[in-house]
Formats: sequence, C-alpha cells, structure tokens
Amino acid sequence: MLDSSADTSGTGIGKFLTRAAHWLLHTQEGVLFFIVAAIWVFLTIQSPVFFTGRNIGVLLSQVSMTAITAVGMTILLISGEIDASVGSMQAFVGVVVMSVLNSTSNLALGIVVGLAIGVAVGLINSLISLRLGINSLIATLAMLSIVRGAAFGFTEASIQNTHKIPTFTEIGNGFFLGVPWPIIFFFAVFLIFYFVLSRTTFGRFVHAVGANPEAATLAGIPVRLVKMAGFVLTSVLAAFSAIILLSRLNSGQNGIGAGFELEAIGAVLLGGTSLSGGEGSMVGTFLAVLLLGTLKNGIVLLDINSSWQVAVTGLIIIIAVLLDARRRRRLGQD
Amino acid sequence: MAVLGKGNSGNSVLARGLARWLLTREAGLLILLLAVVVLFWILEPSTRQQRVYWDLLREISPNLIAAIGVTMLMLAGEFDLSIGSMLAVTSVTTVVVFNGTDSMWLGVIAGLATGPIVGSIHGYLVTRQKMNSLVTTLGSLFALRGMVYVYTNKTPIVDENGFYDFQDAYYNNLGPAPLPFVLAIILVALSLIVLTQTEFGRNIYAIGGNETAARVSGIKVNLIKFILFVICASSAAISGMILTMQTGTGYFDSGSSGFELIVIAGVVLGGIALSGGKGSLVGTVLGILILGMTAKGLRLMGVNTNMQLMVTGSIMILAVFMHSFHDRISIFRKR
Amino acid sequence: MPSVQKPLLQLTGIAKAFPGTKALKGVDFSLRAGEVHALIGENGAGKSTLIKIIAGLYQQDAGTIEVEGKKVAFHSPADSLEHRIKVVYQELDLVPDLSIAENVFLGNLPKKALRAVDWQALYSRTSELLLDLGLDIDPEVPISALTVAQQQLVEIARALSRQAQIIIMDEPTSALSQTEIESLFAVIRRLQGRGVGVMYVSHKLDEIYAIADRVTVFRDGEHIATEAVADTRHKDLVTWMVGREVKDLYPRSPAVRGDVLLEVDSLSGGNIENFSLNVHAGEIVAVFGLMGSGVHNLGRLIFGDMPRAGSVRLSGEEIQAQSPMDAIRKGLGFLTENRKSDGLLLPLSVKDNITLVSVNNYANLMVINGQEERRATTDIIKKLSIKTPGIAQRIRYLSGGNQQKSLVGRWLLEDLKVLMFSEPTRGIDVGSKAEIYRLMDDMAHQGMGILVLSTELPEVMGIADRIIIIRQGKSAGRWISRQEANEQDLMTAATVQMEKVI
Repeated sequence: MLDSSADTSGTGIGKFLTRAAHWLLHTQEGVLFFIVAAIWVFLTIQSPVFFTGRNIGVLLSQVSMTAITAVGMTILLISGEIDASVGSMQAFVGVVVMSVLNSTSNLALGIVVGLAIGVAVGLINSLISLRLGINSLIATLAMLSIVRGAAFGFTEASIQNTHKIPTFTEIGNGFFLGVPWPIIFFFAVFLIFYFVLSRTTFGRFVHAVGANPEAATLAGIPVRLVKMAGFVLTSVLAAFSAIILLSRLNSGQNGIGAGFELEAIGAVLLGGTSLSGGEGSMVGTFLAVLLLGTLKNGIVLLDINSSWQVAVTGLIIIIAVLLDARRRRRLGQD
Repeated sequence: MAVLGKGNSGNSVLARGLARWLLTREAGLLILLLAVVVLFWILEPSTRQQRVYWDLLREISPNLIAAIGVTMLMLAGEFDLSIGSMLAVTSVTTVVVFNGTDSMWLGVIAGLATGPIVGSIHGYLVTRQKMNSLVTTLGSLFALRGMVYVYTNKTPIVDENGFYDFQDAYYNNLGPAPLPFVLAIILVALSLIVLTQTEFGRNIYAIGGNETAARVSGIKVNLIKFILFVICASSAAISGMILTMQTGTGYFDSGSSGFELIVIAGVVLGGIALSGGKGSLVGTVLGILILGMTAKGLRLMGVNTNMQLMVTGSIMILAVFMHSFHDRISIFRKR
Repeated sequence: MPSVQKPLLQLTGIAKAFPGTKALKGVDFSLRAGEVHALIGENGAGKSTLIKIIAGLYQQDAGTIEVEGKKVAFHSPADSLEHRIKVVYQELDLVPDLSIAENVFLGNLPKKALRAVDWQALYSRTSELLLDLGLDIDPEVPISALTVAQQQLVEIARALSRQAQIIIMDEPTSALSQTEIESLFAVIRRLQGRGVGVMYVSHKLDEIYAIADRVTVFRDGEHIATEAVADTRHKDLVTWMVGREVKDLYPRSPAVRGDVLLEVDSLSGGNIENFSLNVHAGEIVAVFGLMGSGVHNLGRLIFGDMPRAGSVRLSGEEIQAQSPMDAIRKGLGFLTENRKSDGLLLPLSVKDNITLVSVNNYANLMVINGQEERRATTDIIKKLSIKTPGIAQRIRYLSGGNQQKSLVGRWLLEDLKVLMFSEPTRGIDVGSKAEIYRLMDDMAHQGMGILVLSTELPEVMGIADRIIIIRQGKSAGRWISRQEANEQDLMTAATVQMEKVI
C-alpha cells in the first residue's frame, strides 16, 4: 500500500506504457509533447528540408537565447517571483560588452563584465522586490524601463564589432563536433538546471519558498536568500543569452530585445509553470520553447507570410492555456 | 487634533477634513504631480507656456481612456495585457472600412466594434473556461498584433478619402480644451460615478477585495467580470480611434512600443492594487498625468527620448514604495 | 419550545458525490421556526457539503429541499438568499477594504433613482442593525479595523439585513473568547425569540448543550441520529460521531523525567509579558489559554518567528532571536496552529513535505540522495501509519489528520530535543487525534521534551504532565501534575473575570 508504484498494475512494459499514457494525457508536458510531435510530423511530410540536421540546427540555435533565459525564469517563477526586465538586458549587456571588447580586445574580460551586469541587475531586482516589498512584477517592469534607458544612455547608435576576435564570433555562429555552439550552451544550461531543480536541496527550497514562504521560514529555510538566488540566476542567464545574441548579430544594438521578456515568460507559463509559485516544470519549459521555435521555423519553410509568426505564437499560448484549464477542471483541481 | 483647539468649530471641521485628506493616496499623488510641474517650470523655460499643458492633455487622452478600462478590470482582480495590440486592430479596421465603404461613420462604428468583440472573447475565456487572464491576454497581445501584421503585410493603410472631419476631431478644441481631452474627462467622470455611486461599481470593489464573499452574497461575479473585459477592450478601442484620428492612417504598429506597460504603470502608480479591490480612478488619472508630464518635460529638455524610460521606471518604484508606506501608516492610524 | 408546525427548512435524502468520494449519502435535516438545531460530526462527515448545498454553492445529486413546505431548487447563492437563508461562514466572508455598511448590505445595497446607491439609508439602516446586536460603531469604518468578534456580528447583521429566517452558523466560535461566545449566544437567543431558525454547526459538544434545542449527528456522509439535546448524553454524541467508543483517547503513561531541556526566561514580545517556563526530558508540558490570551504567540516567540526579549535556552545553549534556523539546528521543532498557512506545501508531494526540514541530511554537496530520502519517507509513513496512495502523492489530497501526521513526521526525521505543538489536533478527526497523542507519549518516553500550546481544555487535561495557564499574555497559574488539576480551576484561572464556566 505504501509503495509509491502501487497505483499501477501489470509489470515491465505494461507499466511503462500506462505511465507514458498518463503523462501524455494528464500533464501539461504531455499535451505540449503531443502538439510538438504532431507539428514535426506534419512539417516533415510537407517540407523535405525540415527534418535535416542543418534545419534542426538552425531551429534550435534560434531559440537558444529565449531558452537559456527561460530556464532561469522557470526557477524564479517556481520560487514565486518574476523578472520582466530580461528584455532590456539583451540590449544593455550587448552594448556594454561590445564596447568593452572594442576597447580592450579581451574576450574573457568582456564576458565577465556582461555576466557581472547580470549579477548586478539581479541584485537590484531582488533588493527592490524583497527589501522594499514591492511586487516583483511591478519592480521588474520598472527595471525594464530603467535598463532600457541605461542602454540608450550608454550609446546613441549601435556599436559595431571593430575588435574582430574570432572566438567571439564562434560563440553564436561556430560549431563544436558539428553542433552549433548556441545549442550546446542551451542544452548544457537546460541539463544543469534541470538537475539543480529536481535533485538538489536548492531546487527543493525553490519549490518550498514558492509554495508557502511562511512554512519555509518555519522549516529553517532562508527564504529571502533563495529568492535572491533566483533573481540573480535569471538575470545572469539573461546576460548569457545577450552575449550569444550579440555574437550572432555582430553588433551591440540599444533597441534589441523588445518583447523578449514576454516571449521568455510566455514560454515558461506555456510549459505549465504556475504564476502563483511552487509548481513548475523544466521539461515543460523546454517543450514550450521548442514549440514556439518550431512554429517560426515551419512558417519560414512553408513560405508563409512571416507575419504569421506573431499571430501563431499568440494563438498557441491561448490554446495551451485553454487545454491546461480544461485538464485542471476535469481533475477537479480548480 | 487637539492642536486645533476649540475655536471656530466650522473652521476646525474644515481643517480636520483637510488634514484627513492630506493623508490620502490621492493627495500624495497630487503633490507629486505638482512637484513634477514645478521642477520642469524651473529647469525648462519652454514649460512655462500654457500651450504646453493643453498639448500634453491632448496627447495623454488615449492613455487616460485606456486606463479607465484597465483600472476597472484591475479593481476586480483581473488583467488585460492586450490593449496595445487593440489600438492597431481598431486603427486598421477603421481605415480599411473607410476605404471599402467610403463612409466615415461606418468606419468609426466598425473600428469601435472591435472592442466589444475582443473583450467578449477575453471574458468568455476567463469566466467560462477559467483561464488565467494575465496569460490569456498575453496570448492575445501576440495573436491580435500578428493578425494585424498578416492582414496589412506591415504597411500602413492610407485613408484614400481623406476624411478631414475625422482628423479634425483630434486637433479641434472645445473652448480652450482639446476635444480628445474633453472626451476623456467625460468618460472618466461617468466611470467615477459608476464606480463610487452604483451597486455595479461597489460590486467591482467587492469582487476584487474578496471574490468568495461577493459570490456567496449573490453577486453575479462572472457576469460582472465579463462586462469589465468588454469595457476594457472597448476603452482601448476608443484610444485606438483617437490615435487613428491623429494620423489619419491605419497603422499596424500602433501601440506596439509598450503601450500596455505605460498604461499599467500609470494605473499602478495611481494606487490600484495588483491584487484588486483597492484604489480609485482619481489616482489613476493622476498617475497617468504624472508619467505624461515627466515624459513631456524631459522631451522638451531635449533629454534622449529613451532616457525618459529610466526616469519613468524610477518614478514607478518610488510611487509603489510610497503606496506601501501609506498602507502601513493607515493601518497604524486605524488602531 | 417550538410548536409543531411545518418546518422552515426540510432537507430529504440529500446526496452529493465528488470525483472519488461520496460526500453525502442521502441525509435528512429539518429546522423549525425559533429553534436552534445543532449539526455535529467529524471532519469529512459532510457538514460543510450540506451547508454549501443549502447556500446554493453546490447542487445536490439527489434529494429535495423544501422551504416552508414548498419545494425549491437552488442554482446559485442568489436563489438561496432569495428564500431568506443566510450562511455565516467559518472563514469570514467579508471584504476587508469596504466599509461595515457596504459589507452588511453586500449584493443588496439600498438604491435611489437611477440605480444610485442610497448612502444615507445604507448607513442609518446599518447603524440600526448593529445597535440591535449591541455593537455601537461607525458604519463607515472599514471592516479591517474590527476585531474577529465584531466581524462575526457584522456577518450576523448581514443576515438580518436580508430578513433571514434561516441562519446557518458554521463553527462560529472557533476564533472567539469566552466573553465573546457568551454575547454571541445572547444574540442567538434573541433571534430565536423572533422566530428565526438557526442551524448551528460545531464540533464543540459543550456549546451544543449551552445553546441547541435539537442535535443531529452525521458520520461519513450519513445521517446517524437526531435527538432533543436534553435527552442526549455526552457519551452518546461522541459514540455516534466516531462510530465506536473511544476509550483511550489520551494514552499518557508516566515517563522518566530527565534533565531540563528547554528553559524560557522572562520572555516578552507580542502581547506576552515576562513569561517563563521550562521543559524536562521525558515530559509533556502544556500551556493553556483562551483565544487572544497569547498562547499561540508563545510558540512563535520561542521559535524565533517573532521579535522577542528574554532568553530561550536549549540544553543550556542560547537560541538566537528571530532565527528559526538556529532553533532547528539546536534541536527545537515547532508545529503551528495553522496547518495550511504555516505548515503545508500544498502543491508538493507527501515526500517533499515530510523531508522539508531534514533534506540536508540526505544530501551531499547539495545533491539529494533520492534513494535514502525515499527510504526515510517510507519509514515515517509506516511508523505514523499515514494513509496515502504513494510518497509522490500531492499532500493537498490527503485528509486533515494525515496531513497533520505528515507534519509531525517532518520533525521526527530531525534529531530533536524538544518539539512544540500549537493546537496539535485542531480540525482533525478523533481517530487521528488519538494517534497524535500516542506519538507525543512515545516521543516523551524516548527522552524528548514536548511543549503543547492549546486552547482545548480536555486535551490539556488529558495529555500534559504539567499545566501552565496563560491569561492576557501573563502566567496565571501552574499545576505541578495533571492529577491535581480540575477543569473548573483551570478555566477560572484562564478567564479574565470570574464568570460562569460552561
């Protein structure tokens, strides 16, 4: 009775199939997996180009920036907070890093400065939200404006690449063993934080402070510190995304990244992470990012008016949330 | 109060009333607004002309009108992030119907009708399907904008008939006051009466304050929320109409540079709680005016357009901090 | 006493099922004019489901509702209110930021022409209603400025504002002090005199003897008995509720008293002033106080969840103020009185809830050893016989008793010296109660010290070796052993004025 696997009958493959069916039909991840798989099959039939190594590489490289930021955002949302400032980070980190590289030609220094901006903004976000007690959505929306302003204050025009460091160009455009670097970064970040979230005490604490901060405090968990780590992590990963983006664009642009925050947060929510904290899924985020990327890719391949990208993104978010709402009602979770 | 002494009782009542009012949220915001005006008066000579303020009121009218709907919806504890995209939907619809029917009135009616249509969809999804309004309207922010892109192929639609009456409505005045501002004030006044003096309005506060309590008291929560989604999208449609008057074109990117964020910023600055049930429309108006005046003043000073964002963000943090401080004081006062 | 006539409210054969459970299996209930009819039962007996059906929040699957002999169907709360039925809920359903008057007339504001609110009528009618209930207060004040007892009266005023003839009270006294309960009862008797029928839902048997005319008992969704209160013995009620005779609810057996473990010296903070106590190994010490006495704050102060003055030592070591983390590290655990808001992580699994505090013990460099964690969890589940389909089950789906046992399990996995229980058995069924008490006894026998903070007199009398009374934040009497304490003395010491004791 007390065995955790007591609810399934049969053995071996039967058990596995029952569980797989349950996952597909009863979880947000399953629904997403189903949609992604269906679209992949459809696109493979419709376009000979879709299911080629090259195209999949392009698809995954394109979503890698959103994905890396969304990984941090998943953790932050589970801890019960949010960061809307990641869009402006793309611009601010980009212009600063490019100008540091131009003036020092030191790649390591540039990257360190970029990530340090992430740490700093994350600390400011957590200070405003946790110390001043301002709702983090409002606090980071304000920071969205402030950081964007800082990017414009830093430079009035875009900053071109004059340092010509070859390794820098590799970050966003190079390959390692035939796999584009952005994909390697994306998968590495995803796997590391999937592990952190599900297998470490920090991951457990993130869930706990999001589910019930008072209970977490009484269990001796440093609630503010855990949330602060979430803010800093999200901001640093956003800065990392910005560096990859910078390498791909090959110039620091102060206007880039508008709406990036909506895409990242949208992906996390689409992946089944709850706005109210305590619940979420890294795999769901992964699948959601994949779904959004596939749609964009498919629209290009099928030679559909590229304006559809935006519309379809919106419709998919609505459909996924609708399916989730219906599933919850069916299971009586309200 | 003891300081006021016995003296003239009429006077002391007045003074006491004033003292009490000074502790309200609105008084704090009014003082902040005056401070912003005085600051620019000192720093930038061009703000010393009356014309500047009339211009400001004209430009800020679309924000004010959209903020009415957002305020009502947020008071009931729900959100609409899609209002920026609504501007483009209205704008494009209006001019497309202008060109298709050669009738100004049909165009205006069609443009305004987009509000109730989109609002009904939101209302249905949130109240019937129990979807989270923040995520749902985030979805429609993309969906609506995308459909406008697809339809227009990202080219502005020119009003072939050149309906000057239509455009004049934006630039004309009623006495000294710009017409769009007059419209905004009328809508604000009406909404204020609804919110403070009718049962419908009080029920909005009740829903935002404690939805279960409202439900068990026989208030039709779902119906009211549905109506509020319609009101919110409709007020955004009116804003979209005014912006279309300004340019006379159906613009696919209307409201795409964070219109929803600016309006929500103004509403929050005005003291509407994110959790609903708290705040007033007067606060919203002041919040929008503070943000508008700040942006305008900085623009006149020749500050980088986007540096204004930084100032706006800082003001927002300051204001929200002020509100939480105010909440603490008022709890203290009660005890 | 009520004359024989058509009942105000007659429920017949009401049934209601939810996915996985049958909450009500065809129950009957009737309420006459001018009667107080108590409904009692354990958690899960179906009381709250029945209330929600009467309130129009749920629709019954089978059975009929009759009001004054006429069959009715409730599709929404509005329908129920229409028939002048008003529920006064346990968790107060008031809107904190609206005025008292707006709350009293919520959903039913008096109106002038053009549907505008008639504020004058609103305020004057509210004042009248409140004065009638003995509450002289400005109706324009927001609800959040009132005490819980005052809010309760506002709820009742709300019922009166709709001329309710049927008032349903769901555990109305759970947050009230003794004096406040007395005045609530006075109000109920006045309502009774006016011919209002009151359905009084409670689990406090004493209150039922004090106020009710008839009593109905539900168990597991079934109707067990309806009797006149005067003809019913206390023991019968308990047997009906539980379904068997509860013999050994309090299995306390003497244990060896060891060294002093917890020493609290001149503790102040909140409404607590200069409170001292100590707990020895092998001992169960109870602090008893009424609602509002500060008995609950005591736990938070000792544990460091509230700012405090004074010293708290565990085995001689000082525990830092405002640091639950330090308290836990030194061997102190704390279960609060609010299981949901302070204890449970509702979206998480039974396992994650149980190992919340001890998870570091199964981790190496922050990486959790899943196997070890699962084994520890399974052991606890077996040891406490927690009923769950598996360790991965979300805790929100467990019953109150099993949730509480899981929270006890959370602390058992730590190597504690002293465990504090605030209201250890609030809102759980008698069966689980007995198990919790048995666990406490076990822990004491293993050399732990147990501190119980409670507002339940029978519990304190049944389980504690020593009893301390707290009144208005101060110590108000100590009993060295359970044997020498009697109910009368304890209650008198805990009550501010020497007033009638139930």
